[in-house]
Amino acid sequence: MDSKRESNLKEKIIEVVNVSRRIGQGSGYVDVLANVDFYARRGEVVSVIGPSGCGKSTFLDILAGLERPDSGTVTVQGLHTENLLGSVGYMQQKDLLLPWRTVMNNVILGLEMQGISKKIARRQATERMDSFGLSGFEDQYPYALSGGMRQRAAFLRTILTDTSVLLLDEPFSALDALNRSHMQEWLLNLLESYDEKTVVLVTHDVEEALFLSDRIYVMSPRPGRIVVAEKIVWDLPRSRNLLSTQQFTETKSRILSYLLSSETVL
Amino acid sequence: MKKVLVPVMEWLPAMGIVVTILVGWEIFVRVWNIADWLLPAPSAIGYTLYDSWGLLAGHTLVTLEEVVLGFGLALVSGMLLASAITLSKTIEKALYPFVIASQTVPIIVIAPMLLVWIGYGLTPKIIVVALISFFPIVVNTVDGMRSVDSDMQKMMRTMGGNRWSIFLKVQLPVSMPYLFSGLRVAIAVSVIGAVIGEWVGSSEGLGYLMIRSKPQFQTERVFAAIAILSVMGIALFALIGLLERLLIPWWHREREGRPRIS
Repeated sequence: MDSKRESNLKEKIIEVVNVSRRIGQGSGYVDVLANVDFYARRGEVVSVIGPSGCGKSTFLDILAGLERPDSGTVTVQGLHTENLLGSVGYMQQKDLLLPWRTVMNNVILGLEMQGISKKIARRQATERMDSFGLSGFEDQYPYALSGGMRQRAAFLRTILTDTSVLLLDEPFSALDALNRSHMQEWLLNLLESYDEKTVVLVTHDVEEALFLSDRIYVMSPRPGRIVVAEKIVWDLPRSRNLLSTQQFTETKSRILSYLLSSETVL
Repeated sequence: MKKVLVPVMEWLPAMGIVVTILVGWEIFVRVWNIADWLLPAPSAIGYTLYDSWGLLAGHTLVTLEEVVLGFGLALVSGMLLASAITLSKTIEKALYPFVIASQTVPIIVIAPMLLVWIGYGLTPKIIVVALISFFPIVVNTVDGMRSVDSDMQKMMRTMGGNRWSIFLKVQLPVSMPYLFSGLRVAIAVSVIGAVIGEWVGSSEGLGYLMIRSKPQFQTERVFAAIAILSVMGIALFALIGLLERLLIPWWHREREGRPRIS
C-alpha cells in the first residue's frame, strides 16, 4: 500500500543545510529564512507548512535556483544553487498559462525550450492529456477553462519537462473547497504513478499537507525557521476516509498546535 | 435583423451630432448670408467634393501614400527600438532620452529642415510622418514588454528560458495589445504629420491643395480636403481595430471573459 515507507533507505535528493536569506540592505532588511535545515529522499512527498509570509515561497525559489541563499548550502540532485535553473520543476501558485496559446501549446512550453521538436512534444503531451483531465480541450484557450483545469494544465506543463524534482507552491489555494479536495485526490493518485519523483509541497493547509505527504516540516513566521519535522505514517490507505479517523484528527491538532505556538510575532 | 440593427443603433448618437452640426451650419450660413470664401455651407463643400472629385482623389492618394509609408516606417523602427530598449539597459539609457527629446522638438521646425537636407518629394514627408508617429508606438510597446508578470518570468527561467526566449515567447506577445493602443494614437497623428510635411513644401497632396486653395479664396476646397482627411483618419483607425481583432484575438477573449467550461 505505501511503497514510500521504505523511503528511509533511499538517497537524499534534496539537501539544505543551515540556509539563511536576508532581503534588503542597511536598516531596511528583512530576515526571511534563518538556519533552515531540510532534506527530501527520492520519491518522497515532503510538505512545508507555515503561516503566510513565513518565507515558504522564498524557500522554493532557492530550491529552484531562482534565488541564492546568503549562507548555507543547497544541493539538489548533486547540483548546487548556481546550476539549478532549468533542472527543477516549479509550479507556482498562479497557473501562469499564456493566454495566446492553446492548452496544447501551453503544456509543451517547457519541452519547446528544451529544444524538443513540436511534433514530438505534442505526442508526449497527447499521451498524458487524459490522466490530466484535459483531453478534448487541447485546442481551447485558457480563458475557456475552469480554475481546476487551468491548474492541471499548469501541472502538466511542469510534469512534461521531466525533472525528477517537483516544487509545488500552494497549487490549490486559488480553488474553492470542493474543487480543492477533488484536486488533492487527483494529485495523490497521480503522484503514486510517478513514485520516483521527489515532491516539495508548500501549503498553509494542514489537512492538505497531511493527506498528501510522507513528511512534514512546520515553519515559523519571519524569519522562517523549521520548528518541527515529522514523519507521517497512516494505519489506513490514503483516501477521504482517512480524514475522519482519530489518528488523522489527532495528528492534525498536534501539527496545528506547533503552528500556533510558533506564531509569536504577527 | 437584430444583428444588423445593433451596430446601426450604436452609431446613431455620432451620426446625430454630425447631422445636427451640418444642419445648424447650413442654416447659419444661409440666414446670415455668409460669403463662400469666408465660410462655405456644407452643401457647397459637398458640391465641391462631387464636382472636383478627380482633382481631390489624386491628391488624396498622394497623402494616403505618405501616411501609410511613414506609418509603416514608424511601426518597424518603433518596434525594433522598443525591443532594443527592453533587451538592453545600456541601449535604454543611451536612447530613451533621445526618443523623448524627438517629441519635444516641434515637428513644424524639423519639417522645413528636412526639406533643406533631403529636398522635395516623398521622402521628407515619410520621415515627418514617421517622426511624429513612432513615439506612441515605442512608449506603448516598451511599457507592454515591461508589464510581464515577474512570476511569469520566474516560470520561464525555471524551465530553462534565457533572456532571449523570455523575450520572444512572453514579452513580445504580451506587448501586442499595448502596441495596438500605440498604433491607434500613431495613425491619427500620422495624418497630421503628412499634412504638415506637405505644408512646408510640396507640389501635391491634400495639404498642398489646402495651402494653394486658401489664397485663391477657394475655401470650400479647403473644407473638402479637411473632410477627406477626417474620413481617412477614421477609416485607418477602424482598420487598426480590425487588424487587432484578427491578429490578437486572445486579447478580446480574455477581456470579455466568456463563461468558463467547468
